[in-house]
Amino acid sequence: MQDPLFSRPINKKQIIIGLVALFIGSLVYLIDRPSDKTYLVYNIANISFYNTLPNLFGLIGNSLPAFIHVFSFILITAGLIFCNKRWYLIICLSWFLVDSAFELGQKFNTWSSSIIPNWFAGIPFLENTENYFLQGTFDLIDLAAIAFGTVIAYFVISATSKERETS
Amino acid sequence: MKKARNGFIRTLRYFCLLGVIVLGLITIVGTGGGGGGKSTGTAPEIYSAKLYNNNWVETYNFNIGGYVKFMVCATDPNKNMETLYINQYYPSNATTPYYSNLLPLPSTAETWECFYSSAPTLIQGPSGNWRVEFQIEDSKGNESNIWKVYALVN
Repeated sequence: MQDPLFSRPINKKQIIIGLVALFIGSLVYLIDRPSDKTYLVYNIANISFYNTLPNLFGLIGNSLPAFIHVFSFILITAGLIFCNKRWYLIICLSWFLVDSAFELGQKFNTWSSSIIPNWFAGIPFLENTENYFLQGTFDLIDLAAIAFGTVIAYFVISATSKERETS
Repeated sequence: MKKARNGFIRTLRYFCLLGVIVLGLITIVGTGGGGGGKSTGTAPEIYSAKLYNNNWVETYNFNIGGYVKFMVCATDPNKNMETLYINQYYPSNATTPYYSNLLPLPSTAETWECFYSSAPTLIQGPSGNWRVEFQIEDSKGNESNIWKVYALVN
C-alpha cells in the first residue's frame, strides 16, 4: 500500500529555504539579544555576538523569530513529507496552532505553568518551559507574525511544489 | 532489494519528521521567555493566616498556659512549597523575633493549600501585644510575602 505521506521524494528546495530562514532567525538571538536572555544560547550554544557585532534587525527583531519559526518549520516539514495540497494545509495549520498555543500560554501563564509536570525540572530544554510561560511576554504582534508566517509559508510551498510538478 | 531500500528510506523520513517536530518544540521553549538561567519558578503567596484556640475557635486573645493553633493558606503555581517560617515578636512592634520556628510542609497536589498546625503550642508569655509573622519558602528558595497577625496574651 502506498504511504500517503511519503509518496514522493523530499523537496530539497523547501527544506533548504526552511533551513536558511531558521539560520536567519537564529542570528536574532546570537547578535541582537544578550545571551543570558535566551536559554538555548546561554546553556547550549554558549556563543554570542551581542555587543560584538552591530544590531542587525532593529525593531523588527522583536517579532521576527515568531514569523521565522512557523515559516521555517512549515517549509522543512512540508519538504520532508512532500505530498499534496491538503496535507500542506494540515502542516500549516498544525504549526500555526502549536506556535499560537505557546504564545497564548504566555498570556494565561498561571494556568499554563500549572500544567507543567514536576519532572521537567532538571531536564535540558524542558526545564525552561516554566520560564517560557512565566517570564515570556505575550504580544499580539507576535501572534500576527505567526499568522503572517503561516500564510507566506503556504504560498512558498505551493509555489515550490508547482515548480517541481511542472518541471 | 529495491522494496527494502524504499522501506528503509520511508522509515528514515518518519524519524526525520519526528526529529523536526521535536526540534520545532525545543526551539520554541528554548528561545522564548528569556531566562538564560535555570527555572526558579514563582514564589508562593500567602493569602490568609488565622489563629485559633485549642478547640479550633478563631481568636486573637490568649491566656498564658493556654494553647494556640494556626492555619496558613497560600497559593503556589509550582506546587513546591517546602518550609513555613513562624516568627513571633514581642512587643508587637519589635523588629527581632522573640520566638522563631520553622516547619517542613507536606507536599501539595494543588496550586493552593491550607496548612494547619499539627500540634497546639503552649503559650508561655510574657503578657502583652504580640505580632506573629508567617512566611513560606518553596523548594527553589523563593520566599512568599509575609503575613502578619496580632494577638493579645493575658
